[in-house]
Amino acid sequence: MNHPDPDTLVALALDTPPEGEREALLRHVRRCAACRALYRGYLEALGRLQEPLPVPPAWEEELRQRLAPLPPASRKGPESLPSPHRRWLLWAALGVILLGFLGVGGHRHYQDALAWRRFVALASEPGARMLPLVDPTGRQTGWALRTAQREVLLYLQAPPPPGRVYQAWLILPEGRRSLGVSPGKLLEVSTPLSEESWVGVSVEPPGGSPAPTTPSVGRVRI
Amino acid sequence: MMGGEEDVVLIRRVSRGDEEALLALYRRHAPYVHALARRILRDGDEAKSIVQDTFLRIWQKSERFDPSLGSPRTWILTIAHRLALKALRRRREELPLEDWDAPTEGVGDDEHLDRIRIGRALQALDGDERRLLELAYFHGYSHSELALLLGWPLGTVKSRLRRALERMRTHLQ
Repeated sequence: MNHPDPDTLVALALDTPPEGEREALLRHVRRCAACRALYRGYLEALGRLQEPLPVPPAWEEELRQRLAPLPPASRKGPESLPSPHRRWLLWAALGVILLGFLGVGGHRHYQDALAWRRFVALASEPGARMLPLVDPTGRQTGWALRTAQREVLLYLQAPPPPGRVYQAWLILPEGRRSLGVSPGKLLEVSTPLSEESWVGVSVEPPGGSPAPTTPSVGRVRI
Repeated sequence: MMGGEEDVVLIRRVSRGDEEALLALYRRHAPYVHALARRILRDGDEAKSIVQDTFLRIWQKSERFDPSLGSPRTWILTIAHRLALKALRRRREELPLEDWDAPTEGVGDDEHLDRIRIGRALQALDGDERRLLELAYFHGYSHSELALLLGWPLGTVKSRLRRALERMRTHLQ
């Protein structure tokens, strides 16, 4: 693995690299603990360059008023109010989405939406811990969540391919132990896991497999 | 870091459209955003816009918060820093380098207040390092731009900047 030199991490913390380079560096930092620690340290130091400066009380009310017209589900700035032409396109796009939703994939979309809602609700509880799921190339493919009650949930960004399921695995030195399957994006692990357990996810035929038959689409140390 | 954990919960609530959670984040962090924006832009009205836009951005993009990359405060300041530097570049303001050292502002005016509020962590640095860090962070100059501005070799700029940040990190621990 090629690590960026510390000067490049300094530049990243100062936000000076061009956008493409910045994204690539952040991808590396997300998967490299050593670089992440350095980068975080620099950010923390930069965040302490200023002492707080009180904010006039009226600003909060102004902010509240600017939030009011923004519906949480489709948060767009006031500058992006659609022109009549764009509005027509929006309606057309909405129609297509609705047709898609009501079609074959409708039920799955609905299930995914419910799963995400449940995941976010649990993630917002005190003591919950979110960790990125990453594939072997280091790309983030989802999230793992450990709740204060030690429940573990895995949420993949994309659903499994048609006719396949996701299967979660406990990664042990002696092999892989199945932690369950899911036809959707959310995998709930019912087996209690000890701290620092490695968990992976693979794509398998319906019902799952006795051992992974495809490369990991995401793994994480819980 | 109880505050950090509470902030993470607040950000999760913001991602579900909870206005009160956003306002709670605002009350905690707006003074830091304000200080940063004021320092970069040296203009009260523009600083106000940055404060508002930062929290509107959080409202719209809270799902992008990645706790592995830093605390909620550093994430919020990263957004504010980026917005303020964009505004600064738009304004195409070119502050002469010597402005950073020349104590021309009168005691008690806004400029003076801005200066004395600079974090005490900077006291760990010598004059050159401090000036370098201020130019990099508050003006957004890249390594190569700093080398041109200061007439230093690029390697010297990089090593001094890194040393300055390392020293601040140590000082803060």
